[in-house]
This record gives sequence, C-alpha cells and structure tokens, in this order.
Amino acid sequence: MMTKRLKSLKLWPLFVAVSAVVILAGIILYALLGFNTSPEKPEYKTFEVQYDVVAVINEKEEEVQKVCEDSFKANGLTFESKEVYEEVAGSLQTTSAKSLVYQFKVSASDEALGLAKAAVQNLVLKDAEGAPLSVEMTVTVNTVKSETFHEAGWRAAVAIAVGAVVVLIYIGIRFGVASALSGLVGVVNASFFTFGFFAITRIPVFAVAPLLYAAIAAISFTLLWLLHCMKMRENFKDPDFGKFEADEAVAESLKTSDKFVYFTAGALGIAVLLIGAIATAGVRLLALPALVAVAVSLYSASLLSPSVHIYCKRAFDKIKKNKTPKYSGKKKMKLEGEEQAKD
Amino acid sequence: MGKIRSAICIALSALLIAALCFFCTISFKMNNIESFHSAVRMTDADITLGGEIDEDYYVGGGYSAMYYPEGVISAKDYEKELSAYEAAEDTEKVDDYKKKYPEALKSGGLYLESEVASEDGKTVSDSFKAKIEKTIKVVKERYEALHVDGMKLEVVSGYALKVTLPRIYSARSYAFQSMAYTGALTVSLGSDENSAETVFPENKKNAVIGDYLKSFSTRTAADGTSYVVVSFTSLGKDILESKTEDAENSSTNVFYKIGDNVVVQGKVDSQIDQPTMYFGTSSSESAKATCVLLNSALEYGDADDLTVSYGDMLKIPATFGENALMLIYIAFAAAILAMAIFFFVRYGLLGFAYLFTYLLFLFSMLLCIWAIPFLYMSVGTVLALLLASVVLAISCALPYEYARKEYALGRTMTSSVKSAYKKSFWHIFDLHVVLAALAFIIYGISLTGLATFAFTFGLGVGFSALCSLLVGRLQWASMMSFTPKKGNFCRFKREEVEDDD
Repeated sequence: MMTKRLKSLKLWPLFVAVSAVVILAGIILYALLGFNTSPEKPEYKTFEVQYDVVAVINEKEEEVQKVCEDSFKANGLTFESKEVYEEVAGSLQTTSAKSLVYQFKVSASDEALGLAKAAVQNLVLKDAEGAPLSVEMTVTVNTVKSETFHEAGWRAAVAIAVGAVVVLIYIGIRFGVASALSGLVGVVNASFFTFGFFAITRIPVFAVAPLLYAAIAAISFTLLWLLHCMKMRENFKDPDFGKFEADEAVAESLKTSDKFVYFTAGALGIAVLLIGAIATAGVRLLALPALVAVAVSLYSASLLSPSVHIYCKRAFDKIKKNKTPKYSGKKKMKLEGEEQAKD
Repeated sequence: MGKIRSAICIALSALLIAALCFFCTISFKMNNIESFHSAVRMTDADITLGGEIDEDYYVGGGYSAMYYPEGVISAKDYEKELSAYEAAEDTEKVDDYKKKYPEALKSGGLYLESEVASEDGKTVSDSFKAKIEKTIKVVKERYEALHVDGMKLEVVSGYALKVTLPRIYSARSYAFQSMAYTGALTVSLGSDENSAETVFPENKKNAVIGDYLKSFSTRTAADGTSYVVVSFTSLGKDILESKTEDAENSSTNVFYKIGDNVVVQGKVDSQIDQPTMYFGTSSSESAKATCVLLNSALEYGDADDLTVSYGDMLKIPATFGENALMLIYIAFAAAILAMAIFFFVRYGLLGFAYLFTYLLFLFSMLLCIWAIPFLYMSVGTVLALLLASVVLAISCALPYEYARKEYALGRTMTSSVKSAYKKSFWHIFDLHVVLAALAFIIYGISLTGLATFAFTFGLGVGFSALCSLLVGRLQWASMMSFTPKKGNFCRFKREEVEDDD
C-alpha cells in the first residue's frame, strides 16, 4: 500500500542528490574560501589612543572620543567597533590608564587614518579653567592579523568521527546492523551537510563554531535516529508487520515514531531559538546557526536514513531468509518429537 | 504509595529543591566583611560571557598582552623616550634616537631599531624577518599547546604579537611572563644562579641540549600537588650523577634556564641517580605552562633567538557584551518555562512531577558546573545543558505517553504506570548509553570549548538517566496518590468503546 510516508521515502534519489551536491559543493568551497569567519576578524585595522590617569581624573575621556569620531567623520572613515580597555600592570591589577580602541575594516584607507591620527595628536586637553593638561597620550594605527590554531580543529573532527563509529557499533548490536549502516549514512550526512551548508551560504561563524555545529548535528541525529530505531524494533516484533514488505514496514513504523521525533527536534529548535532571540549579538551569532544543525539532523533522521534503511533491511531480511537453519540441539528435537507424538 | 509516605516524599523533595535553589542562586551579605555567594555567582565564565556582578566583582572576560621582539618597540615607548630627550633639550640624543629608530623602518604603531632590523637603515633585512617569523611560530606553538579556551593570538603590524587569555585561566600572569622567554635551554648547578656552572650542554663542540634531556612532562600527585617531570637521557643522567656526588655535603641548586631567565630551580639534597627529576609547582596549569615552555626551548631554543619583552597589558571585558551572561541566564529560564508549560498543557498536574524532576536535575547540574574545576559558563555549556534538558524531557515524556496508551485501553493507572516504565526502560537506557558514550568520547579527544560542551552534555545525560528513571517515577507515584481521579490528574482519557446495540 503506497502511503504518503512511503511516497516520501521513495524520493531517496532526490535526497541523495541534494546531500551529494551540498556536501561536494561545500568541500570545494571550503577548500577554496574556507568558512566565513568574519566574526573572528581575521584581519583588521586599529586606531588606538592610550591615555593616562590625568585624562581619566579630569573626565576628558568623552572629549577624546568625540575628537576621534569627528576626525573619522571628516576623513570619511566608519569604525566597526569601539572599546575602552583598562590598562593592567604585571600583577594584572588595573592602573588608571586606559586604551581607547577603534576597529576598522582592513580596507580602511591608511591615508585617512593617518589624517585622523594627526588630528587627534594635535588635541590639547584643557582643564576647567582653560589651562592645558599634561596628559600623556599616544595614538597608533596598526594592522592586526589573527593566527589560527589547527590542533583543536582536527582533534574535534577525529572526536566526532570516533564517537559516531562507537555509537553506531552499539546501535548495530542493539538494533541490528541495518540500523547501524543507515545510521552511519545519516550521521555522515548530518555532519558534512552542516559543514557544506556553512561553506556554501557563507553565513558568518566563529572559527571553531562549524565543529560545534557538526557535533550538535551528530548528537541530535543520533538522538532522533535512536527514537526511530527503538520504535522499529518494537513494531517489527508485532506479527502485523510481518505481512509488510521492507519499505512498507519501515514507512508504517516511521508513522508511529514521527510525532515523537518532530517533537524532539522542535524542542531542540525552540530552545536554541530562545537563546538566540534573547541573548546578546555575539551569543546570537554563535547559537542561532545551531538551528541549521538541528534541521539537518531532522532531515537526515526522517528522510535520508529511513530511505537507506529500506534497502538495508531488505538485504538483511533476505540474508536471514536464505540462512540454512542451524542445528538446534538434542533437547529441542526431543521436545518437537514429543509434540508430534501428542498430535 | 500511601498518602503519608507520599506527603513525606513530596515535602522532602520540595525542601531539597529549595535548599539547592538557595545554594545555587541566592547571594547576600552576612555582615560588613563576609558575604555568602551562590554557586551560579561563583561559577566562572569564559572570555565571551561575563559581567559585573557587584561593585568590584567581575566574572568572565580576560587579559591581553603585547610581545615585542628585540629591536621592536611600541610608539608609546618611543614617544616617551623621545619626549624625555626633547624636554631635556638634548638635541644630540634626540637625533641619535631618531637615527636608532628611523621613520623608514616604522611599521604601523611599531618602531624598529635600525641596527637589529636593518642592514641599510632603510629596509627591514631578510634575516630579521626570518627571526621574527621564528619568534611568532615559537610563541604561537607554546600558546596552542596550553589548550586554553578563548585564547587569541594576533600579529600586530607584522612585528609584534598580541595574546589574549581568558580570566578563567589561572596561570595567565605566569604565562604572559614566561612565554616571552627565548634563547637556548641550559641546565646549571651551583649555590646561586650567577655562580652556577653550566652542565648541559657540555662545553664541547657539537654538544646540544637534546643529548642530555629527553623531554618535560607533568604529573599530579594524589595530594593534588603538580610537578614538572624532567626526563634525562642516559648521558644526561650519568653527567648529573657524577656532578652531584658531593651534593649532600654542599649547598647545591639546579637551575633550568631559557636564555638568561630561570624557569625552574630546586635544591639538590642528594646525588641525582634517577633518570627523572621532579619539581613542584603552584598549580597544574602553571606546571603545564612550564612544561610547554621547556619542551619548546628544548626543540627550538637557540642562543641567537631574539629576546622578547612583554607589556601593554589590558583588561578585556566579555567579548559578547557586558550583559551577555545575564541575558543567557534569562534565555535559559525562558526555555525552561516553555518546556514546563508544554508538560502542564499536555499532562495536566503531572507537569508538577516533571517540574520537580527537572529542577532537581538543573540544580544538580549547576552545582556540578560550579564544583568541577575545568567547567565554566559558556555558550557551549548552556547549549549542552539545553540539549541534556531536552533528553530529560523526552525520557520523561516517553513513559507518560506509554501510560496514556495503556490507560486508554482500560487498565488501571497503577498498572499503566508500571507497564509504561517497563516498556520504556530499555528505550531510555539505550538513549542515555548512546548519548553519554558519544559525549564522553568527544570530550576525551577534543580540546577546549568543544570538550567542555561534550563533558557538560555527558554529565547532563547521566543525571537525566537518574532523574527520569528514579526521581521522575517517584514524583509521579507520590503526587498521584492524593487524587481519586487519577486519569484527570494526568489528563489521560479512556478510549471510547462504541456500543454494538
């Protein structure tokens, strides 16, 4: 019987094609461009004004900021962020000196920054009576380039891979090799599809974030696939399921577990969405893309893995059917003989 | 369960939750000097999160420091020195200073010394560039080997380094200072640092430090003391053995130096006849930093290395904004509320059983995050807590749904609950075993932020198993015993059977 759920599983060539395209395009784009790690600011320019305690005591900080920002405006510069840091001594105790740091895109004109620097350097801070203050003030313009650490990246990838393999071995033992194989396809798809998605869409992410999302995708997929597997094991014991073909059996079983899987994925999504919606911009930038991982794991667990599972189940059912019955032992034969005699 | 037993059970659970809630969330001043701090308040936050909790208490954020290799100075130092000469009206010194740091060699906000960085005083020499490259590589590898979450390393205007370390890293001050040590690694013996005789490498042609020392590692003793362990080669051990023959009768110290800086020193009370030597340190993090530093010097240390000075240190507030920590707590509370509302809507008063179970889970987790030294608040930790909360919600909802079906078929509530837990036990068991295994494997192999995320999730899964199978069932049994209409209590309905007549 061709149900709606079975029809969706018959679309497996489409799922395979979509996944293959996203993963391959993702790998190529990653190799060429990497991820869009602009939130990490791989390269930027800074305009830094260091001033001592005299400026702080005389409340001249705002004036310094105003002069800086006016000179940026006059020279056609737009800064990306502004921070005031306290200077610390060797023991990491704060001194009263401060550092005002403006960040600019790396493309910001050196000439314009130089003009702004000259304007700020010429600033003479005066006290309430108009007498000049002896403020030690240094203005510097630097180009800053971030260094990346690779060890954390490759170790995270190995960790996810090893974790997934161990878990799939457990699934293989508890739910059958067919479930483990379809799970393997699903977990690989969930992790790499997530990577590919970020490489293709160029959504801005922090440098280590794609690995975190891949881990979330792997965990989330495992959770959702386990829910399907549990229900399948329970349902396939039911004699009513014996009359179904492999594809019908899988589709019918999915119908009973889909609701729970959607509820779980929905709960994960809502939780991530709430964190992203309420928290600050930085947290949002880290948390919201995790929704992609949850969505991809749902796609893997509800569409791709079940489609693959049909073929795995069919193959393993066939093997089971063709298996020559093993010698079942004397005791059993004796019991069977007694039953026959009774009949 | 009888009503009295149930009442006692509910009262005890409520008291436990109240006590845990108090320890986790309430902070107050006991008198003018002493204060009581809640677990949440005392939990460290990573570099991204943070905020001012009261007047002089800030969690999260970090510190940054600049590293200036030999021949490179900051504009601040340049201008300070120059203005001192100008104030003294010493034109000769002003001119010399300007020649020493010519404008032609200036790079961004950095001034390069012409004698060190250039051959013609106009362009930076290739040999200096190569030395800078090596210095950056060495410092980068040292910091990378520390495996500190949230650490950042940036190259400033091509010739200086800016390192940012999180506040949660306890050895930050030591790391800033010691990671600047460059030069050859030497081992010397003597009564004091200046008069000590260098024993490794020996004063002979082609002798290198690697001939005497194998490596440096860390060990933590049962009493919590951390040690730096030095492993000698057989040649190194033999030399030390012969040099310390008379150690018992003399006041001898051993010094491990990088360039001119003593990294580790210790008193030698007796002859060194073992292939390893232990040095106690103040913490495991400083032991690790020392070990990383010495291994780096063993591999790359060279007498010709540029010396490095550090300075211009800044206090960095939370990089995700001042209110990031507070807002993430609010967001988390909203997520919990949403989950609780779902349970109350779907399961009626049974939602209380879930709420009690969840609160016990949550406060236990918060206490663990506070008490376990390597855990801290970060976005990853919060995501892990949320994931674990969803796992707990599923594990609670699973038997609820089974019981709903059983009850609908006409079984009694007690029998439905029993059967539901019997049916769902292996589901919950498999779910938790699989997720805990995955989490702890990721924790074991990965580093920093991902490891913290995975460990928190693994811990949460462990608590979720306990809470869903034991606490949840106990709460359900004790809360349901007060109501005669058990079906209504859980919003379970009997299946309507149509009469054939």
